[in-house]
Amino acid sequence: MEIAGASEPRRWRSRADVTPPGRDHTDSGLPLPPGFDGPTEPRPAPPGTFPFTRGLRPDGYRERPWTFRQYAGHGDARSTNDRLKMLVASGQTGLSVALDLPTQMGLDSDHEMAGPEVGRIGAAVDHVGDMEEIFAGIDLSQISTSFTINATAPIILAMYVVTADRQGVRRAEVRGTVQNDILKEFVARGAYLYPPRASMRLACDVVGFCTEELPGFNPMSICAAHMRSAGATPVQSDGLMFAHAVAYCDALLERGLSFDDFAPRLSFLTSAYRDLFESAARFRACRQVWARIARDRYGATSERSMHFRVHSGGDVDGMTAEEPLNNIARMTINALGAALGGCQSMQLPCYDEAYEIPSDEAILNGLRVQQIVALESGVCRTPDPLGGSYLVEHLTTAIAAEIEAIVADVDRQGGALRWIEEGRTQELILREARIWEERLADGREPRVGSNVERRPELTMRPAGLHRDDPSAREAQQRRLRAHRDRRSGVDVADALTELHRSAADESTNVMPPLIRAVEVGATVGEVHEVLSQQFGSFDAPTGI
Amino acid sequence: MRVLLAKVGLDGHDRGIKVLALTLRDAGHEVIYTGLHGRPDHIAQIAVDEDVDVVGLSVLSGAHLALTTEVLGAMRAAGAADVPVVVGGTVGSDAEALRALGVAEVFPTGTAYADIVRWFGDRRG
Repeated sequence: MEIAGASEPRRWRSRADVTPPGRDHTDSGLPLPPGFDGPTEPRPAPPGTFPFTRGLRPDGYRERPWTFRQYAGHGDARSTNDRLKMLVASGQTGLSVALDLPTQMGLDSDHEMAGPEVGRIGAAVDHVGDMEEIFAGIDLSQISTSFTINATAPIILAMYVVTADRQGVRRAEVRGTVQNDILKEFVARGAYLYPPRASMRLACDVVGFCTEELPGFNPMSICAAHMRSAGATPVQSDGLMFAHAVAYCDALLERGLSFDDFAPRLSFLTSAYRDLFESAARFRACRQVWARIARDRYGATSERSMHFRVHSGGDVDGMTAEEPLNNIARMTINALGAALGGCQSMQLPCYDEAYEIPSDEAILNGLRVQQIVALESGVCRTPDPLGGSYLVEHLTTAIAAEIEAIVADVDRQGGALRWIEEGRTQELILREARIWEERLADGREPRVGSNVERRPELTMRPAGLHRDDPSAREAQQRRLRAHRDRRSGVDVADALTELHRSAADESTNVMPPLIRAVEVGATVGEVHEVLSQQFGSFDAPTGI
Repeated sequence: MRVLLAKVGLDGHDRGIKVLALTLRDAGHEVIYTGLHGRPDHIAQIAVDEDVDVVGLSVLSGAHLALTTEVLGAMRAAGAADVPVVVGGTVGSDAEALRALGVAEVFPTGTAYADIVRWFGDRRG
C-alpha cells in the first residue's frame, strides 16, 4: 500500500519492519530514536490544552482515577445481575455488560441457530424484562453502563432506555455507552447483520437519537482493539479506528447534524498491549490526532468536541493458556500502559482468558490489578508522568504521524466504507496477521512460558474455571415463552408495523418506534426480523 | 487435497481459520473458506457439492460440542459421513469428547500451524 503524496511513498509500518533481534523497533514496527541519549523534543502543550497530548484535564487522575469497568455477563439476567453487583461491591465504578452471541446477532434464545450459544459468552437478552432483571437493584441514575453491542445496538439501547424510564431515571441523567461501531464488525469482529450502508444508517440513528434525548450517553465507541486482535499492529489499528471515525462523522454531517452537536459524545476504544512505552505513547498520539481532526478537518469550536475519550481493553490475545498466573503480570503491564497513557475507563482480560469467560476469582483479580495500579503505584499523582521523556515524546510524534498518514491514505483511496466493501481493509489485516503468526511460531515475538521458556510438562490449569450452565439456558427459553404469552400480541404487531414503516423511510429515525416496540414487549428477534426484511443481509469480503 | 474450512455458529473470530486457509494454500491444498456464521446443514451441502476431502471447523465461543454434533449429523444426512471432520478453536478440554463424536483430529488454539499443515500433508500422502 503506497502512501502517495508524502515526500517519499512509503507503506504502512508493519511487524515486518521489526528487524532481528527485535531491539530497535516498537511492536508496531516504528523505529526507536537513535542514540539512547537522544535530544528531548519540545514538550507538548500542558495537560488540558489543545491538542491534549498530555491529557484532557489539567489535573489528570489527581481527583479521580479512570473508571474501573471490568467486562461481565453470562447466562441469564440473574447470573449477570449477581456478577455486576459483586463487582460494584468490590469497587467497580462503571458497568460493562457482555451480551451473548444470539443477542448480538438478533436472535431470540429459542431460535434454531441460538441453541448452544444462549448465555454462553454473555447475558441472554430477549426482551425488556431481561434488561430490567440485569439491573434489578442497581440504580441507573448512579452508575454508567457500557454495552458491547453493535448490529443490535439500537435494540439494546431501546431496552436500556425503557429500563431507566421504569426506574424513574430522567433521560438526561442516563449515562453509559453502546459500542455501536459497525464498521469494525465487517473487518474484524464479525457481528454484523445488514449491508454496510443500512448498518451505517442505523448507527447514525442511534447517535442522532442520543444527541436529542440522552445527552449524558455515549452513542458510539469507535474501536481500534478488534482490528488489532484480527491481526493489525496496534498503530495500524489506531489508524483504522480514525478512518472509521471519519466515515461516521461524514455520515452524520450528511444527515444535517452539526459536528459540535454529536462529537462531544463520541468515544473510543483502543487498548494498551505489552509494549509499555508504545502503549502510553499511542494514547497521547490519539488525543493529538483526534483534536486536529475535530478542529482542523471538521471546524469544531467546542473543546469538548476535540476530546479523545477512551476506554482501554488490555491485551486479550496476549493472555496465554500456559502458566496462566503469568497473565497477571501481563495484565499489570497493560494497566500501567493505559494509565500512563491517560485513558478514561479500563477493563483488563483475566488470567483465565485463554480457557473460559472469567471465574469469580479471576474477574475479581482483574479489578484488583486496576485498583492496585491506581491506588498503590503512584501513577495517579502526576498528570502525564511520562511527559518529557525523550523516548515517549519521540514515539508520540512518530505514532501521530503514522496514524495521520493511514487516515490520509484511506481518504485518498475512497474512504473506509469503500475499503470495507472492496475487502481492502480485510486483506491488509490478514496480511499482517500472517506475519504475526509466523513470529509467534518462531518466538521472534516472545510469550514467556508459551513460545519461549516453555515447560510443556507443567500443565497448569486455573482452578475453578467458569462452568457454562445449561439449566440457565433452558430457564431463559421458558421465560421467553412465558413472556410471549403475557404480552399483548396486538400491541407488538402494531408497534412492529410502525417500526417497519420507519425503517423503510430513511428520513426518519428508527429509535422512537423501536423504543415503543420493546416497551410493549417485542423481542430482539422480532425487531431484527423487521429490520432484515427491510435491509436484507450481507456477507462481508473475507480478505482471502 | 480439497479442504473446506468453515466458521460454524455465531462466533466471529476468524483470524486463525483465515491464516490457516492461506497456509494450507501455500502448502498446495485447494481451500474453500465459507466465511462466518456457517449453518451445519449448509456446510454439509457445500462439502458434498464441492466434493471435498476434509472439513475443518473453527469455533471459539465454547459451543463446539453441540455445533460439531450438528455438523456431523448433517454430513451423515448428506451422505458424506466418510469425509473426515477436524475441529479447531477453544476446544482443548473437550478433545476426547470430540474424538468420541467422530472428529478425526482436534487442534486447540495454540497448535502450531506447521503441525496442522503436517496433519493435512500426512492425510494427502
